[in-house]
Amino acid sequence: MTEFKNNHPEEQNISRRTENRREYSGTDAERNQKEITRKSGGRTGNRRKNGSAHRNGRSKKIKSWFYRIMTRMFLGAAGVILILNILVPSRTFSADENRNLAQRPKLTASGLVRGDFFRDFNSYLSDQFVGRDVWMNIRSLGVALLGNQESGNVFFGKKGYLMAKPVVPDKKAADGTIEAVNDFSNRHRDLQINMLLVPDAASILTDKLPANAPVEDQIGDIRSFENRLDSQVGTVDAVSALQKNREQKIFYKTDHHWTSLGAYEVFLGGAGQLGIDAPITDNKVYTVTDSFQGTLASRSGRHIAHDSIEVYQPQGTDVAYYVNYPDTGSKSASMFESDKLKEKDQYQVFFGGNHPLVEIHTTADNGRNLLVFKDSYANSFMQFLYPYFQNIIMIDPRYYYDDVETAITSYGITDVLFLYSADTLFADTNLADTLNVESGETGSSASQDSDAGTESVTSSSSSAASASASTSVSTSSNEVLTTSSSLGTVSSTSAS
Amino acid sequence: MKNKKAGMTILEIVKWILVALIMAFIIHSLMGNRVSKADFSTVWNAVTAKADSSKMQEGSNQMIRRLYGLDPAQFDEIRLDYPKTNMGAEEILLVRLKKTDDQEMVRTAMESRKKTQMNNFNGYGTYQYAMLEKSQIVIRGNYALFVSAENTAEIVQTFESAL
Amino acid sequence: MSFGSLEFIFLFLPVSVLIYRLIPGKKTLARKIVLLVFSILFYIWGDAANSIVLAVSVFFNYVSGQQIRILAQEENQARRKKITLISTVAVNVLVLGIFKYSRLSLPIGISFYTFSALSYVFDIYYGRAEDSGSLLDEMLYILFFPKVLSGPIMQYKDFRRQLSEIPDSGVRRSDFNSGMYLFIIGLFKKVLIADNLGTAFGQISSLQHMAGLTAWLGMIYYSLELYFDFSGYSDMAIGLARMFGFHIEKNFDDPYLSDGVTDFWRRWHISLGAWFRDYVYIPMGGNRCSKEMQLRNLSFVWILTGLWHGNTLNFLFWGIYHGFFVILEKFVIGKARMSIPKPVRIFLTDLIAFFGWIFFFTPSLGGTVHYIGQMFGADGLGFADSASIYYLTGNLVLLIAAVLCCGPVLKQVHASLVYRGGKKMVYVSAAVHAVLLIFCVANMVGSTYSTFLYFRF
Repeated sequence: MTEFKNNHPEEQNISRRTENRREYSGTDAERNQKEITRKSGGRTGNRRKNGSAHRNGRSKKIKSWFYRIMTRMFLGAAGVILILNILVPSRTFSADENRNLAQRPKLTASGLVRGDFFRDFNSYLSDQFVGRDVWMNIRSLGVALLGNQESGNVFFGKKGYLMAKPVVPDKKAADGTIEAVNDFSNRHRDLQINMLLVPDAASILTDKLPANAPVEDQIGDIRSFENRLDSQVGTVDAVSALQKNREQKIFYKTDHHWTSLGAYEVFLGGAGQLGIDAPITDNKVYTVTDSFQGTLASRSGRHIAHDSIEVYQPQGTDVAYYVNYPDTGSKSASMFESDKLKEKDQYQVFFGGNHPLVEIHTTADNGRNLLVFKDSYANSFMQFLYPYFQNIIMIDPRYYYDDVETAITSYGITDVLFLYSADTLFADTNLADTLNVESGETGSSASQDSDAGTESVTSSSSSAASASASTSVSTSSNEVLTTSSSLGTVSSTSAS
Repeated sequence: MKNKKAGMTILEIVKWILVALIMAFIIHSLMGNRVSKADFSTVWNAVTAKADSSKMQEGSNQMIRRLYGLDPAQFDEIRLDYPKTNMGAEEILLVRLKKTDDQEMVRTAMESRKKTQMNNFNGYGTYQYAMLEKSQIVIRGNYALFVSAENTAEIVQTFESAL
Repeated sequence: MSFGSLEFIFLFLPVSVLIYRLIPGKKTLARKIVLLVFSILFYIWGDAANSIVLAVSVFFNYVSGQQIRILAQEENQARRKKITLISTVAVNVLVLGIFKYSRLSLPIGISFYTFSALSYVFDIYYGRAEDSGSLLDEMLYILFFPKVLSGPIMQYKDFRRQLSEIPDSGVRRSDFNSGMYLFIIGLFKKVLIADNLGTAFGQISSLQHMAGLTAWLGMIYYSLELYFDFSGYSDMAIGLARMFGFHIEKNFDDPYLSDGVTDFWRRWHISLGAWFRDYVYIPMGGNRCSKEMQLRNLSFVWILTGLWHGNTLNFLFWGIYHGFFVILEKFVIGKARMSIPKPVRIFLTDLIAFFGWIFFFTPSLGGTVHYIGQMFGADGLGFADSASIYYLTGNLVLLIAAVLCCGPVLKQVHASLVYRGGKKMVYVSAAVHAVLLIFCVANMVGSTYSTFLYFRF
């Protein structure tokens, strides 16, 4: 056989030794050259016997040439990317992932010894990897090519709809919330209290789910949640209103929120329950953007579809309003912040995002003051609600640290509305904590003392956010098998 | 012959020094990660007794969540004393973990809080900034402590002996 | 550091390869030292806090090995030699056991490097290695970064011999290139196949209730994932070693094509089986003793194998499970096995192996039993429901690709199309590989993606 490799004395030594050991060594080429006793059958190996020595020699030449190309390609690409990574400056923030990106860690003795430096350096490398967002999109493409219908807990639905997987309710959290709401209702028999739970797209647009996708029965969860509420707490049925209008654009394709149209239909259906006798049905509708790509696009890495955002202006009413944001000390004549349309999360056009406390003061002189406990779904609901209340106070329990009872008294609240998406509320404990301020659970025994002064300890929400987002550092889960952390998710295998 | 014997003895000694070294390492690690049976209130009282309570106020669950991003429900017990005024930097967070796996998460949250505070005072609050620089995060098994105070070292010592 | 991570491929690998190649081939000492430095850096990068455990192990075993070597040269020291060996083994096993079975976080690679260290001591004791007392050699052997974390477990005598065989001209081009290609293939196996199978398995394992087919799919996905992850990693290790001039034997040999459990263990994690064979089974008597002794030895080896793999009862039972089948095959069924048609033998072996992995991914023996129950409809959802179809169709392409890659088919097709095809086919193949590499990098970047969007809800 043509020996195309460098004729090296070692070659023969290795072949002899390998024969004796009756084991297989590395390349096909080496195996080709020796007469090795085969082990048990079932392996065809290479067809050395086919063709002439010349043909074999040629194919070996091609193979080694192929290896050379592959090596150059791989090492070349690695080198180029290494250089690019060095040259390209670091980013501080990722809009797609909505978090601060790791920066180069400082080299400290303790960091080295504890290993933190290396962990931080790895995060820095991957966070600042050149073209990170592009790679993410390629990954999503790959996932779709494999025929997978979900990524990052987001379903790839029909007609370009991305739908978040409905959350399985956290029993403990849900029980705590129900208990807190019921206690609250008992304390305030004089107030009109309503609960508005909004189902997510996967629960309503069931025809757009991928075939056979297993989905939590969120509507069932919502019904059983509502049933456990105190009889004094009214329920606004968002489910029926959304189901009736499922053929319309009631959810965004790329974002987990409901559209203004969806909110509007729920408003119409629930106006009576909210004590609104004559809801305005004549609205001017403005499309403020049609390039919206929301949270689900980021989570799934699928940036194909675009959404438009509409804002509604009720006609035939002369009620005017202004908005006050106590946390920033600013006032606005409109609940729509058009500046936010320049940012990635354009849904923030409603009130500029989430605030701990928002006051809407209107010229409606009917003495009705509404307190809304909410998540971000309520932001696009207020555009329909303001003509019917003199004041609307929105509290986001995730950020609000003052005393709710004081607020109720000082604002003269007459109505209370809990407006949440089911996905948020079923895993939430913030609402219960906020309502239970009086019951003095661990860590809050002296909380009554903490009033307006406490807001002064400034910490941007993003810093607290980054604390809770950091997942625990996982050392290799089963070091015996591999260092892949994807292995064995069910079991707690050998390691720590 | 004699050289060889001496050589062998040296090797033997080196060997057993190494064994002692690894045993010390193991014991140290075990001690550090030991789950303490100490009662939370006892540890809390001991720690706060050494601190200047006049500068701090107790924090509610929401405050803990807001300042650290930690969900109180995830832990056995958690208590916070944070600055009474926004010009103060005295702070104590004591956590009793349900599982030691949470150590890294709590450590990260505490470090993040420390960094934020340092950013807040950087440039105009030199006294507070200095206090924060020597603030300590101590994780011992199922207890975690973040303390920023005048006498941080003393408080940490009290903490460790209370466990 | 994992081989399939950004920091390894785009920083450590190019830098270490470049610097190593810059050293002239005949400067053996320089090359060894550079390789050692990189290996130390590689380990510290992965687990700085526990590096001291590795350091102690390296030095302790070096000293023991040298004591044994010196004693071996003397007369009448057989007993002392043996005592030294036994005490050394005892200390190593004790330390390994303490880390494995206590609350302490496991130093990465300790199961592997301890076995390497023991190989060093054993090979000196049995006189299999031409050891010269070089500390550098021993350190390089244990710390050699391609294999320090997850093997394959190379035996000292082989490494030692190869150290003296490094050619003056440096690493051979053919070795370097073929090693690189093997690394790439390993990377594909791990990142493209194993990680995706892991996602699929993760979706199923998070279900509370499932129909029979779903549970079967879960077991199959896990079994395939485990193979591709481990064999992919081994390929990367072997490829890397070759790029630095060392030849490590292959660690996997199409194990899911085995036609018997004994055969399976000659194809799965070969280096571990060889280690137990050469250092436990054969010294205990191997096959050259009475049937009762063989049975005892085999049982002992299989219990050890189970214990080595993990620290819960599940792993012990898994070891006994396989030991049972090996013994059954050897002593009870014997030659009668060959009367079963080959495809059936392969199928049955796969069934036994796959069921065995259930011990790995369930948290307890109760969990194992529960999962098997789910495979046979214990959840009352029947054999297959719409969710089963979903988990099958969503991963069908991946499943087929994985099954194809379990055998030599793809390799043979590639060889006949490309190596016999000519220049053009080479370019086509390179392009295909390039596309796959792009998806690889995308997956590696994507796995570090964390969306913080929940907080803004």
